[in-house]
Amino acid sequence: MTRGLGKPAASNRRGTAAGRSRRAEGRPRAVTGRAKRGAAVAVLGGLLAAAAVAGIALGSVPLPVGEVLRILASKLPWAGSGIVPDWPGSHEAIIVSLRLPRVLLAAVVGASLAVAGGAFQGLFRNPMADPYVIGVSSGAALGAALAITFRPGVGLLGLGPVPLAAFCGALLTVLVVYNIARVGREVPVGNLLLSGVAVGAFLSALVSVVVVFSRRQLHEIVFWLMGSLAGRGWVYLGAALPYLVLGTAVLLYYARDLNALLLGDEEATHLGVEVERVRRTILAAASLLTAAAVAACGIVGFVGLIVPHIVRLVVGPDHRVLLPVSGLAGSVLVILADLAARTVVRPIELPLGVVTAVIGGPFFLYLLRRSRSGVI
Amino acid sequence: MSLDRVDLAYGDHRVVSGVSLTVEAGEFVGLIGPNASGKSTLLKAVSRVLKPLGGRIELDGRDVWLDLTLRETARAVAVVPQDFPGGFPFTVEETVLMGRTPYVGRLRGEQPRDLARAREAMRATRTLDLAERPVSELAGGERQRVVLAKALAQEPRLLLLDEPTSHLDINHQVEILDLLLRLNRSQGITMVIVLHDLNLAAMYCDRLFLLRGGTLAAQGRAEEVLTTANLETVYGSRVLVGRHPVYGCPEITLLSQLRAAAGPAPAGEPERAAPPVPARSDTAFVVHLVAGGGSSSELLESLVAAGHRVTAGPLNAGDSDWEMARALGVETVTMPPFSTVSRRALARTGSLMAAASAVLVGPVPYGHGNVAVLEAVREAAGRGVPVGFIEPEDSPVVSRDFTGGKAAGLTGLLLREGAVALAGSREALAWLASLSGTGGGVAAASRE
Repeated sequence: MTRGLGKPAASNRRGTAAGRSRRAEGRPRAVTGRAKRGAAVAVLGGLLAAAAVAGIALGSVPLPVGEVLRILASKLPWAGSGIVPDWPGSHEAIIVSLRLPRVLLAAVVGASLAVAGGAFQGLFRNPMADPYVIGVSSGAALGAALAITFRPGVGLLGLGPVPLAAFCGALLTVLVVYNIARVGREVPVGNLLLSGVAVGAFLSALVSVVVVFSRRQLHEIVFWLMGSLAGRGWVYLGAALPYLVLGTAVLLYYARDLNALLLGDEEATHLGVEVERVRRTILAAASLLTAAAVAACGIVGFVGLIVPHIVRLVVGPDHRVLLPVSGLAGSVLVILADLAARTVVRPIELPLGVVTAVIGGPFFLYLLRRSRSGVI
Repeated sequence: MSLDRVDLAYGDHRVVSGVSLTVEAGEFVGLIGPNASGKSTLLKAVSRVLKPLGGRIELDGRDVWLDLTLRETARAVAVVPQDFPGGFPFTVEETVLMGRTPYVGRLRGEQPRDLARAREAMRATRTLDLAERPVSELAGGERQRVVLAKALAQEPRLLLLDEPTSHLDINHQVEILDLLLRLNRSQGITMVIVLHDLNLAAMYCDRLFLLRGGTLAAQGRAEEVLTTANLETVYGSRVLVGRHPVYGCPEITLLSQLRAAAGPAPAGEPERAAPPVPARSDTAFVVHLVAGGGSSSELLESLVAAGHRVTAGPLNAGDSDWEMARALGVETVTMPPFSTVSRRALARTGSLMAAASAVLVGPVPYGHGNVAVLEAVREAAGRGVPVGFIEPEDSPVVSRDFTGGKAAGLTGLLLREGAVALAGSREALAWLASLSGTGGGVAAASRE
């Protein structure tokens, strides 16, 4: 993975001796492409498992890894019966009702943001785009701030009003931005980007207004805005997971079209891609992914920007590989970031968004300096 | 491919009106015309980027917009654009494989057949060696070959090319067009190519369509379309149409609106030694012709044919009038190519004029480099040499004057002082006949 971060990034990735000998042998490239994809998936899968175990084992009460693994194994439906419980019941409670859902939710949120970020970057043909580029985060923030301030007594499937309001705010914003950007039946990406920025700025101003007038809930709103997974249980996981599965499936289905869109609308049309329809679908899927993630844990920045960026350096811009690998990498990153958030300055828990920004900002600058071309 | 009364517009801005044209399968045709004449827009209508307001576009008898899905169109028609975005670093092979998009099922992925087609396309365009390189790192000519490979991977029956060579050096222009011609002849792919370069269009295309302001101005073989009249009406610029020295197809030479036929002299180049003026018999009627810029070759020929002794000059070596003068054995004041009329050349011209029975001034384009010749003409007229100006109706001196009015002013002055304006070579010959018939005019009379 580190090799791909070299300078210049692109030629490191491509112009290797291995690449040339591969060509000389005349083996079809699809095989090696699949191998590369397989290697990336295997490495990240291992990292994901390790990060998850670490995330469960570490915390205010550190638990031995062996015990964690045995407790987890005992919960598996077919293998669990053979394991004799020799651990304190409190440990099992900590793992099952607190840490496991939190780590899983971190994985889901990270994957959602990274996949959505990759899709938005492709859609806008701009590697600086992120899942919040069309104002999803500001809409969600306004919804959440209003719900925190007025505390309406609504709920759905065990979810409180805040995630519901954030989700609705996010989707409403996307609809508004989309319709502002629309020219007849077409939605030029430039328009989409600009109206996203404008609407986002407007909504952020409204959030500030709400913050000013809600003195008592100020702390809670600010904390939500900075993103956190504190206290999120199985209900949140159950609400966010379907969007990840569905959204990622749709985006992978259109990954090839997304590649063609990178060449420009006309080029994509020449290749038989129905640009407007595909763009609408991708926009909807990526927005749903983002909205679900934001509703679950507030605004966690940088994940959706940086993860697809780094993954593209390693596996190339082909979305059929980029999106799933980004999803895995996003999971790993958010699990580790959440672990850091709750352990580094114990007993205070840092907001998750602060941790990702602290890790992500400098790393991003480092990447920009390394690849002078600046584009990727 | 056939277009029937196609109208196209960007929003409210009408770009193409009522264009009908037919391209047979296997043809190699060119779309030419000035900027904004609608060439590229026509391609967009065929490749389904821009929907026509009216008219029909057919491919093998089926309406592209009504009878075919976008995917079906993409299997039949491929496009090579002028420019290819290279923002995201896809490799050459990934880029070429994108050409298989209209064939690849979303859930099935690329099949061995797709890989094989992509390899074939890369072999045909000699891009196999570049397979692992990112397209963004390639040079212009290589990148254009990759784009062509991507288009070929679509297995098109019709290839639309929008100025595929406009950003390339001349060697790569020929390379790409040769490649296209080979594909056209060997695989029978119909080529419709928008070209800015008329000479390339003449060299490569079976037929040409000349567009002007969104309508079809002319169509046919290069010789029929690339005529001086067509090009001057459509482009509004002055051109010479000659023959390609090797292929015999039309060859266009552009003429500057500002540049005089004799441009500034290359610094330090010595003037060519002129042959000494031979002694001539007193009885001969001598005409001195002021020519240049290819304006008077025909006149020169008819003067000699009419039996006159002719001197000419000053002329730049290599000028087509100079070539003609040399071929006819006409005594000429010669200057280095593209140089300004020097004082020495002017003095020699003056002495030839003074010795002539009449001075004839052809429809020469005047610039600051050669306008001094008119002063010499005036001097000769002052000595009593009859002076005639060829002033064709379609090319009066004002249209050839690039000196800001100086040449036209001098011509007008000379005409008022007794010089004769002649409409063409026939009038010139009649005038000369009348002069020689009456004893060769004042100059000849005084000499006798």
